[in-house]
This record gives sequence, structure tokens and C-alpha cells, in this order.
Amino acid sequence: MKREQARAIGLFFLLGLMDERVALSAASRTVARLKAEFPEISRRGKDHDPLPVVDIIKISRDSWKAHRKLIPRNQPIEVPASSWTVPAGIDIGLWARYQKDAPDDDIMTLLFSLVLDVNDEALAEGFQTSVGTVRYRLGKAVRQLGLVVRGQRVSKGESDV
Amino acid sequence: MSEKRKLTPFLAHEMLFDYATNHLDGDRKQAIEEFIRDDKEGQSLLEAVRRGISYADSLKSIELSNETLQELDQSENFVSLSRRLARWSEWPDSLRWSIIALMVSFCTAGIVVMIPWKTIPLFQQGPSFDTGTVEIARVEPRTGGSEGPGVMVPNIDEKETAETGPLEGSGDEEFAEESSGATGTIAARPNVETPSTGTQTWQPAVPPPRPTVSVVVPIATPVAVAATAVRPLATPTVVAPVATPVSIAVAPTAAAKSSRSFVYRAFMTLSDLENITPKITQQIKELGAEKAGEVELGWRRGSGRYYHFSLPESNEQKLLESLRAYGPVRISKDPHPRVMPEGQVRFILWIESGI
Repeated sequence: MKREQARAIGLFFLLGLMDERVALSAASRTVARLKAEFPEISRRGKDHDPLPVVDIIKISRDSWKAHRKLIPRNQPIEVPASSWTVPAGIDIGLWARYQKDAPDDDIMTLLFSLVLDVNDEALAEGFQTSVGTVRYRLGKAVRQLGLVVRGQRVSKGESDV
Repeated sequence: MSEKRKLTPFLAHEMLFDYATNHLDGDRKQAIEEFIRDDKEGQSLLEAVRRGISYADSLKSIELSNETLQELDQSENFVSLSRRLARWSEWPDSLRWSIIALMVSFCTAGIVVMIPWKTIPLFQQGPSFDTGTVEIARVEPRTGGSEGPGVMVPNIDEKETAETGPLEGSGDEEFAEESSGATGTIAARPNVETPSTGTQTWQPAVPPPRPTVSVVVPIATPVAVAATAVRPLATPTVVAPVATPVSIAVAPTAAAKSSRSFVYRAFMTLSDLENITPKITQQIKELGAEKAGEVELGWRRGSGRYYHFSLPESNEQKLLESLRAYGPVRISKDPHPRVMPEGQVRFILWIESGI
């Protein structure tokens, strides 16, 4: 398994679940399950070979569903601090605000497509749906996220005035 | 020509993401542009979509800490761990080499155990034993102090340790030497020429059981043997010297025969020897026994009686049964270089007086 793919899985769960403990647990189990499913790839000497993206999506989605229940919806969000390094120009609070109310499928689709650069066809196969549905979810998710981001900027602009 | 259909706000808003990511064909793209030109909400949503894409793109630059990456990289569950460890190539090198070394050791030990070394002539040592016989009891030879180093005498009984042994003075010293030769060395004896045939008798200076020095060859015709040099044997034999060509020619056969020859050693402890001994002597004679040593059957030695005789093999069982009628018999079948004629067995019976 490529280190880049392990990073992608970790980032997917940290951003998607926004709970350090649950996210790392979900990511670890996903990686372990992938290693179990693909022993040939994860073995010594071949551990830098990429895993099939579709299988990463499927297993990550299963793990997401199992761990999502562990996060209470109405609790204040704790941004993972020690597990990642957020560049100075990024307001991670905006993402936290969007992630709190967005549907799970929209968040997963947005993360896989725009953050982790998975193509639509692989996403459709991983989610066992059509490419059209993927595009629809993506449009909706991006629009919602954009509205959250714009609202922040508007308020900032207003405060500046 | 039909008028162009206008996009509904719903369709236009849903296609804003595809428009922003340039996934629309030319007609649709033109239709969206025409729509948002007059639709403020559409313009606002398009801006939101672009900001959303931009923000999502910026999330790519988030880096995970090394600890987190390492933790993820080493994540294993039971299945992945067992599958990984089930593969030989995944085992640590030290463990693999240790197991290989262990397996080689076990294989070597197994081969050494499995190979029948005794059947390989190169590795044969000492007299070969008849695997078809069952040893009832074994009399361990011990080194006698009076006989000098290397000369063995039979350990007949613990009581005998203080005495000189049952064979001394019985006329069976030759036999004692041959017996000791089975495990130790025997002294070379002077060559003696028999008066009748001129054949030399010779006692080898090397252990007789070894095939290369087995020189005892049975002959069919009885030959008179000088009584002074060699005591009369139950079956007359000619002892051929190793060095002569004749002995070399017959050595393998003699060795093979001597390896199959044996003597029975029986021991009993009985009370009232004075009355029982004549009966036993009589019974032994009735079974066709002939004395094999110089002394008569039932020769008195100390508190015991000594019998050295040959017997028809067919009466062997009868003899044992008749002896057992008087008491327990300890018997052992020992290899011996002296070859008996076909159908004859040799016995040495020592009866100790018990209290």
C-alpha cells in the first residue's frame, strides 16, 4: 500500500468525521482491512504498490458507516489538532460547519472527488451508483460548502466595514 | 424553425457545478450563460460553487502528522496479520534461518536414526547378533583384577566376586578367554601342532569376533586335538591362522558363521545341591548331552556345580523345562566365535548353592 493512499484515507476520515479518536480508529481499521483483502499488495517488497481505488472507496464507506454512529450529532465539534497540520490560510472551522449538517454521502463524495482527486467513474463504482448521481451529489455539496464559505467572507467583510 | 427552449431555474442551478468545472457541452454551456446573465440567484450560486471548489481544493494541502501516518501504515487486524504471517517470505530473516537450521538438524538426526548402520559392513563393529532371537537375560562381563587388564570374565553372580570364578580349574579356560575376547582382547597363544594332522592351532591376538580375524572354521571330519594345548571341544574344529592364504579364503564364511554362533549361559540358585545335582546330571545325560569341557558334568567348584556341555538342539526346550522343575533359571544367549555343528547347541550351566 502506498504511503500516499494511507494519507488519503487518514485525511478522508479526519475531515469527514471531525473527531480525532473515532477518525483514526476508522482509518486504522480501513487500512487493516485493505491489507487483509490485498495481502499480495501489502506484503514486504510490494508495499509501495497502489491499492485499487474502488476497493478503497468501498471499504472506507463501510468503515464510515460503522464509525459515524459513534459521533454524537449535536455535540460541539472538536477539531483534530495533533493528527494534522492545517496551513495558515485555511479556516478549518468553515469545513466543520459544513460537515456538521451535510448528508454523509455528499461529504464522502466531495472529499473523494475534490480533496482526494478520485474520478467520477471510480466513485460511482465504489458507491455502487451512477455517474450522474455522483455529479449531482458533488454539485450539491460544493454549492453548500461555497455558501458556508461565502457567508463567512461576507460576515468578515461586514465586520471590516 | 422552432424557438430555443429556456432552462428552468432548477435545471440551471443544478448544472452550475458542471458549468464551473467545464463538464457541459457547448449548447448547454451557452444556455447556462444566457440564463445566469439575467438571474441574480444563479450568479450568486455560481460564485458559491466556485468558492466551494476553491475551498475544497485548499483542503488538499492539509498534512497528516508523521505519527498518524506511521500508525496508519502499521495498522493490522487479526486477518491481515495472520495472512501476512502465513506467508513464509514475510517472516523475519532470523526466524526463517533458525527454522531452516532446525529442520536440517531434525532431518539429519532422522536419517541417522533411520539408516540401519549395523547392516552396512563398513560400520559393523563387534559380533553381529541374531535379530530373530530374544535375549532372556544378559550377563555383563566385567574386568577381572587377577586376569590383568583387558581380560574379561563372566560376572556369574555377585557372590563370585570374591572368588576366582566358576571356570577356573574347570578346564574351560580356553572358553573363558574366547568369551572375554568378545568384548576385550585376548592374549596370543603359542602355536601348537596337532600330532595327527600337523595342522596348526593358533589363538589370535586380536578380538575373534571381528570378521577380519575370525579364524575358527568348522570341519566335518573330527580331528584329534592335542590335549595339552587345546582342551577338547564338543565339536572338533581346526583353528586356522589368519595370515595363511587358506584362512583368507575362508575368512568371510567363518566370520559369517561365527557371527551366528552362540552359547547359552544358564544360572540357577538351588538349595540341597547334594541331592539335586545327581538328578540334574542324569537328566542332562538322558537328553543327549555330552560334556564340552575337561571336567565332568556337575563338577564341584566351591559351593556350586558347573556344567559345560553340548546338546541336540531339539532337546533344548526339554532341558529348560526339566531345570525349571527345580527352580528359576536365568538364561542368556550370548554370541560366541565357536561354531557348533548343525543341530547342536552349547550350554554352560552354573548352579549356585542357595540358603
